[in-house]
Amino acid sequence: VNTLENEAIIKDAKKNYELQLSAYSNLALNLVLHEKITAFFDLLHKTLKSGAKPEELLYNVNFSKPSVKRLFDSWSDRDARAGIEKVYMRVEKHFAETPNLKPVVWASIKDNFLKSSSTFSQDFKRVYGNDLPIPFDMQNLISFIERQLHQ
Amino acid sequence: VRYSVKKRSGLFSYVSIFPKFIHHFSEFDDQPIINQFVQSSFKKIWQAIFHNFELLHKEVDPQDEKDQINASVMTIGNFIFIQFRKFTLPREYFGE
Repeated sequence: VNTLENEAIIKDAKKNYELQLSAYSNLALNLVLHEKITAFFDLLHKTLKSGAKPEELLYNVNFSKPSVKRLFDSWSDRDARAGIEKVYMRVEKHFAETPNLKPVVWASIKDNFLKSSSTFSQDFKRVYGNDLPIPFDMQNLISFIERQLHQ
Repeated sequence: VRYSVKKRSGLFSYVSIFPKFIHHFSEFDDQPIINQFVQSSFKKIWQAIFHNFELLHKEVDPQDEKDQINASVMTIGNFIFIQFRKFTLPREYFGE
C-alpha cells in the first residue's frame, strides 16, 4: 500500500468530516443560543480579527452597550433548555439508524460548544471588559445536556 | 449506488461492507498475487468512497437548510463508522 497517498486521501476526508461536524454543531448552537446571539459573536470575532480596535467598537451601532443589552435580554435560560431539548430530539432523529454513533456526535457537539464559548468570552472581554456579563454559562448548559442524555 | 441529500440514509452500503471486504482479503496475506491486487485496488476504493462524500456536498442547495443537514449527517455518520472500524483493520491500510 502506498501509505503516503492513502494518508493524503484520509487527511482530505477528515478535513471534510470536521467541516461538516462543525457545521452541524453550529446549527445546534443556534438552537440553544438563538441565531441572533451567535451571529453577534461571529460578527464580533470577524471584526476584531480584521484589526478593529476594541474601544472603538463601542461606538458601532452593532456593538454598542445598549444594543448588546437588548440582544441579551431577548434570551433566557429557559429558551436554552428548550433549545437543548430540540437539539436532543434532532440528534435522536438524524442518527436513529446508527445509534452507536450518537455518543460520538454528542461529544463533538459538546466540544464545539466549549470551544465556541471560550472564543465568545475572550472576544467579549476584550471589548466590554467586566462592564457587561455574558448571560449564559456554557458549562451549565453542557451539564444540562448531560442530564438530558442520562434521562 | 448513489445517495442523495434529498433523502437521508444511515450507513452507506459500500461503507458498511468495505471493512469486511478488506478483512477477507487480508486473510490471503501470504499469497503475493492476491495481496498485490488488494493493495493496488485499495487506493481506488478509498478515493471512490470519499469522492461520493464530496458529491453529496456538491448537490446541496445553499438555500436549503435541510439539504445541508442531510449532507452533514450522512458524512458524519459514515466517517465515524470508518474511524471506528479502522482500528480493526491493518494500520498500513490507513497510511499511518
